[in-house]
Amino acid sequence: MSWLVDPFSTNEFLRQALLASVLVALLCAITGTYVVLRGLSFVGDALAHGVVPGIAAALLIGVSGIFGAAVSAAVMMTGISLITRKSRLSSDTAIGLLFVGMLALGVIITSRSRTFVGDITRILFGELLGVKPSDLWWQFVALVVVGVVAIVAHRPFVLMSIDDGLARTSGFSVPIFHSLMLVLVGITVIASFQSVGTLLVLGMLIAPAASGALIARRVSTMMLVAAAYGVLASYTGLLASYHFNFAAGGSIVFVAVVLFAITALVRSVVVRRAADEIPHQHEHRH
Amino acid sequence: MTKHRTAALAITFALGTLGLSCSSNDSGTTDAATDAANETTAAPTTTAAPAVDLPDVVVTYSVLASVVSELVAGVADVVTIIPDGQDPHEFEPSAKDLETINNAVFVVANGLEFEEGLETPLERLHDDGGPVFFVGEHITVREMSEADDHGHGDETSQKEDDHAHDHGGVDPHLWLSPGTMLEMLPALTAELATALNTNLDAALADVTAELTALDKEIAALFAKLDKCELVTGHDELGYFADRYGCETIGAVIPSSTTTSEASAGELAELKAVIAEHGATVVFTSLGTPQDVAAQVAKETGVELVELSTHVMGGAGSYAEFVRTFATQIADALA
Repeated sequence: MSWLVDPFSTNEFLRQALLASVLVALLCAITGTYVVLRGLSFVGDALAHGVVPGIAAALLIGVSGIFGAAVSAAVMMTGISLITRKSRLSSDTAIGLLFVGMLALGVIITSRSRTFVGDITRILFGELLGVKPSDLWWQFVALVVVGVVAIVAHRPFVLMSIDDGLARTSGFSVPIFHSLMLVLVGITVIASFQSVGTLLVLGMLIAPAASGALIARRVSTMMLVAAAYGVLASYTGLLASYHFNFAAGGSIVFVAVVLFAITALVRSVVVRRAADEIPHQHEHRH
Repeated sequence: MTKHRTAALAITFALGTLGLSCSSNDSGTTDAATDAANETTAAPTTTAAPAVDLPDVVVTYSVLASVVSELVAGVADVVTIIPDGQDPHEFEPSAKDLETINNAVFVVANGLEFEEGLETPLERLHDDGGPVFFVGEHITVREMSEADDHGHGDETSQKEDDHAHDHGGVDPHLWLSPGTMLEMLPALTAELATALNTNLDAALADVTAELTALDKEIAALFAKLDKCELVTGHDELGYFADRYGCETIGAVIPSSTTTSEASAGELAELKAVIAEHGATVVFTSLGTPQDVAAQVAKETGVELVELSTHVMGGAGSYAEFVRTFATQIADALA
C-alpha cells in the first residue's frame, strides 16, 4: 500500500498541494452547493475567468494578484447587475458579455506586456505543485469567512435554493441574499485561483456539489457529500499526477467529474431497480 | 425596412472604402509605419538609422536578431517580432506582426517548433515561396531522446518509458551554442546576400571570427570544471551541454517548451536526480514556474540561479549574451 502514502510522506510539495486542494474542496463544497442548487454555474464560470485581467494587471504593476482578482470580481458583479437591471437583456446575456469582455482584456494584457512573468496558462491552470504557505493561509481565512456566512444565512439560502417566493414570504430580501451568494462565489474564486488556477476552482465548484445534489436531500448533507467527493478527487488526482505524470490540476478536476459520472450512473441503476420493485410488491399483495 | 437597407448600404460603403484605402496603401508608407512601430520592440543591437530607408530583414527573436544584425549592418534594418523580454515559446503575434513578416525582404526564424505562435504564418509564407530561412534546417539537429531522461535506474524505469514521448522530438534551443550558430552561418549569409542583392563575405568573415573566438573562450572556461551536470528550468541547455562537455540531468519542466506543465511524478523524479547527482544549483530562466522551482529548492537545498537564455537580458551583443550565462553557469558550478 506504500504507493498510496509514500508519495505524500516523502514530498513536501505534494503534502502542500494536497492541503491546498483539500481547502479548496471544502470551500467549494459550501459555495458549490448553492451554485448548483441555484443554477449559478455560469456566473461561477464567468467569475473564475473574469478575474484574469485583474490578476494580469496586478502582476504587471507589482501588487498581489489577489487584489487584482478582487477588483475584477467586483467590476464583474456590478456590471452584471447593472446590465440586468438597466436593460431588458437576460442575466445570462449580461454574464456572457462581461465574461468574454474580461477574458479578452486578460488576453490582451498578457500578450502585449514585455516582461510578463505569470503567463495566462498559469493563471488558468495554477501552480498547484508550487503552493506557498501564504496561499494556504488565504484559503483558510476564506474558508472561515464563507463557513460563517453560510451558517448565519443558512435559512434564507436554503429557502432561496428551493424557491425565491418562499424566501420572500419568510421575510428575506432575495436581491440582498442573492448578492451575498455571489460574493461567496467571488471569495471562493479569489482565494483559490492563486494555487489551483481558475479552471480547477470551477471544476471543484461544480462537480462535487453536483454529485452531492444527486444523492442527498438536505442542503447540509449535500455539502458534506460534496466535501467528501472533493477531498477524494484531490487525493486521487494528485496520486495520478505522481504515478502517471499527469498535470496535477487537470487530474483533480477530471477525477471529480468522473466521480460525478459514476455517481449518476449508480444512482440511475438503483432508482430503476427501486422502480421495478414497487409494482412487483404491489402484485404480490394481491 | 428602409432603415435596415440604409444601414446595410452604409456598411457596404464603409467596407468598400476600407478595401480601397488598404489597397492604395503602398509599401512605402507601410514600411515607414512599421519601422516606427517596431523601434520600441527591436533588438537592442539594432542601430536605428531611419534616415536612410534600408530594406527590412525580419528576425523572430532577439538573440538570433543580434547575430543577423551583425551580418547585415549598414545594408538592412533588422526588425524583431518577439519583444525582448517575452517568452518566445509562448508568444502570440498581433496582426501588425504578421504584416511585418509578410512585407519583409527576408525572414529569419529558428524553426523546430520554437516560435509556437508564429509557426503557422511562417510555414504558410514559406510554402508560398516566401523568403523564410529556418535556422533549424541548417544545423545538426539535436534529438530529445532517452539520453536526456533523468536516468536513474531502479523501479522508476517503467515510469520513464511512460513519458518517453514527452522527450521525443527535437531540441529547438540551438542559439545557446556558438558552435551551432557557426554551423548555420554560411547558409544564412548566402541566402541573405541573394535576397538583399549584395555581397556579405566580409561580414561573414568577421562574424565567423568572432563566434570562433567566443566558442574557444567558453570551451576554455568549461575545461576548468571537474564536472558539469546541469539542472535547468526546462530542457534548454542541450546544445550548449553537448558542445562544452556538460550533461543535462534534469529540468523543472522536463520538456523542450515552457508551455508544458510539470507533474507531481516528474517533480519527485527531479528531486531524486538532484539527490543522486549531488546537484547544488538549478538554473532557472524565463518561463520557469517560479513557485515550483522555489519549492524544489526548499526541499533539496539547491540554489536557484536565474539565467537569461531566451532573451538578451540587457546584453549588447550575441557574444555578451553567451558570455553572461556561460560565466554564471561556470561560476555556480565551480
